Amino acid sequence: MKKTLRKRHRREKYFKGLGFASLCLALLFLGTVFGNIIITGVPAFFRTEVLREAAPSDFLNPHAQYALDGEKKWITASDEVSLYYKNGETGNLTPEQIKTIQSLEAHDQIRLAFNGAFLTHSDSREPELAGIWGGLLGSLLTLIITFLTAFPLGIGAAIYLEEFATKNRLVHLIEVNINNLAAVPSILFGLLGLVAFIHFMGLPRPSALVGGLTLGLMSLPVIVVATRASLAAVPYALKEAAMGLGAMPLQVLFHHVIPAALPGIVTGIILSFARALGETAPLLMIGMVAFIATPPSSFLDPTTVLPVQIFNWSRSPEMGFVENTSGAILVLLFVLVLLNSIAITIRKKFELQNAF
Amino acid sequence: MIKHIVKAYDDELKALHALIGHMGELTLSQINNAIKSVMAFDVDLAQELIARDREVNLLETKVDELAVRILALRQPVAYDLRTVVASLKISNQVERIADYASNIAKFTLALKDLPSFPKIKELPILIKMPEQMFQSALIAFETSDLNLALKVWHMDQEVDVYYKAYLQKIFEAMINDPKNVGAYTQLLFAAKNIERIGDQSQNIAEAVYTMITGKPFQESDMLKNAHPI
Amino acid sequence: MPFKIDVKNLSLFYGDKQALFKVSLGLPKLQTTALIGPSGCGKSSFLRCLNRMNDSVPNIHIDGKVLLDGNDIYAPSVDVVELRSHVGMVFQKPNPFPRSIYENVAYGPRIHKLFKNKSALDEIVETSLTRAGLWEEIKDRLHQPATRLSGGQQQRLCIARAIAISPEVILMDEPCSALDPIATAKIEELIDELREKFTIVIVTHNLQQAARVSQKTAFFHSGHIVEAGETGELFTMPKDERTQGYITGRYG
Repeated sequence: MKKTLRKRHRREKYFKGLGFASLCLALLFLGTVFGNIIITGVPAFFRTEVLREAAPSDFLNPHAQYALDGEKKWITASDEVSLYYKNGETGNLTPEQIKTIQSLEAHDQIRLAFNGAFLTHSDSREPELAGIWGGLLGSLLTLIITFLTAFPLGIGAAIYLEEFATKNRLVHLIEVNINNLAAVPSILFGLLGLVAFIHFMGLPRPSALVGGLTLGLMSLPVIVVATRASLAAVPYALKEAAMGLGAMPLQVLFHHVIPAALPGIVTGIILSFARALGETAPLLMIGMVAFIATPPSSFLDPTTVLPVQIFNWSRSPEMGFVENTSGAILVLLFVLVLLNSIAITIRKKFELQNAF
Repeated sequence: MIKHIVKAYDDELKALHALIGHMGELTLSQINNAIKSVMAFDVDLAQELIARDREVNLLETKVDELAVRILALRQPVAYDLRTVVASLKISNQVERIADYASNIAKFTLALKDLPSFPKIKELPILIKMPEQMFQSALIAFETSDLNLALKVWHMDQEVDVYYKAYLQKIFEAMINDPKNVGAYTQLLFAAKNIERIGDQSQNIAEAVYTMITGKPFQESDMLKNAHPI
Repeated sequence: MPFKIDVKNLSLFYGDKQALFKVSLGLPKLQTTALIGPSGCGKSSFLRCLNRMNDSVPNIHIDGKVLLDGNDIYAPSVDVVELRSHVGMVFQKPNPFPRSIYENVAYGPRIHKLFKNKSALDEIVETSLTRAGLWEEIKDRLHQPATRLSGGQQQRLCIARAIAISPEVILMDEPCSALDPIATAKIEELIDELREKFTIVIVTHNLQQAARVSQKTAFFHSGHIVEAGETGELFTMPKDERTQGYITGRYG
């Protein structure tokens, strides 16, 4: 007995150690990835500028020369200069040019400035001038459509299935299929969107409307499943209490069941939207992959979204897009973390109110 | 009757029955010895008997304790409850009967000091019926025998007949033999105690009746209808 | 003796399975009737038939009559919501709404619109809580969450909530099974007091409790009422062997 007990304790310790080790490993990977992204991405928020009168004209960014009027003292530097100044990569620079940069550096005639354009500009062929505004706005418009379609449909379907539907074969079949749909690869939803919305309904191609509808379709089963799970988790005793007092089924639902299920529902919805926000594959399928330099002004305008823009940038040959890609990833991650913390906050708030 | 799910409960009820059975046997031998001592003027036997009365009292205390324990811990209902309540009553009555036996033995001591007098042969006959009543009442309790209990109850009337005849006999002896009137008075008291044994046995029968039927014993019902069940 | 609820030949089927077999029982007005019996004997199902809580169970089928003051509650013209305002219910586990104490009691009157103004509602809440013996304990924290109360207090709150809509009958489904002896004693005392105004039906597994609080007891066994009668009589002198066996613990 004593012997086996010691063995059992040892095994438990061993198992705990194993779990801890795997956690450390996961953190290490995560740290590496994030570290890498942050290190490469942060420079995207800064741009190299040179003092106009001090720098030779080939140091100035050709696009900036046209864009800016004559009064500005600091001008965005060209690709090569910027790359050398930020990362020390020589690229195509001649040794003389490098010397000039070094002398500029010595006289404080070259500097890093906060790159507001990264957030306010739309896509561009020039990495120094490219920004994520178009993608961010596109993502927002797309998500609005996703929300407008998936939220009412998903919640409605979930409430009907959970609370009102009589349990027969048809309902059972629908339930099983919804559960399966939640596990279908997202690219298939892109295919569905392509056929249904573009070919069949003829909606304008790379628009926020089509993208939103497609993502809505994709989120729908997840929302239904999450909502049903939180509705089902409401204790029957609570419903019984209300019914026993003579509440109508609708009153039971709106006074008791939904408030009690709300934290779960909200969490499910926000998480599914976070997923929709990061989704690329179905949007590629419906053609939202085009280069779009103007931010969309309506749901029907050609639109791109943040993850697709990241995808595009990552394929660009210019070195400057490497840091832009990472920078855009940082913005995307920030938005996702924001959404998740909203979900957690809402959950905590409602749980406190509904402490059972 | 089917056994309880809780075996210890059954064991306790059995122990209660066994205690009362034991008390009954002891009391029965006390009665026999009492009569023997009176008839033989056996002072030693009488003294031994009086000393043993404490044993019966002790048993009664034990029955009380066990019954209270069962009431508190098992919270008996229905037949079990009635058994426990009957046990409490019956143990009390048996103890009284044992007291009567030692009372009779005490008369032996009193008679011993008196001048000799002619024996009254009817005393052993007089004791027969109450003794049998007592024995049967205990069997009725042990076996939950309603008919036997009713029979015991009715036997008391016969005891009264014998008792009256015996009294007559003593009165006659007192008149014919006035110098022994002290001894006869003692015998009169002894007879009274024997008659009380019958009465107490009748009470036991009544307790058994209530235990079995759950109804309070109504004397008028019994007299109207000899065997109601 | 007038019966508040008179059940006649009630049969209950869950799909193919019959749970009650032509059960008949009268529930005397302003008295407490206890329903006892082994698990699965149908006593809870029976109780739930009395305010049609079984209605929402799928594949259920009910035969027979349940007369509340002479009117069949299963008649097509009867509205379940109205019925439940006459026949309230208290459940096994205390199940207050996750709201304030005040809102718990006020909920019933609110959905049935039983008051004219705020002060009238305040009065209903106070009377109900007082009657449930809870007012003194919680009058200073009416607006705190009900879930912070102890188990016994929660159950008394549930009783207050049930009586706030002034029902005529209160059904209690093992109301003390989750409570400690002191809380249980308080509920039992409460049941005794409530008997002045309400007819009470209580399902309990605790035989002593049935004996303590009820005037009439019905013993259920596999969907039948084996024996029903005055509580004192049933517990001292049951007529049926099965009742005897069950209450003395000889159930096999």
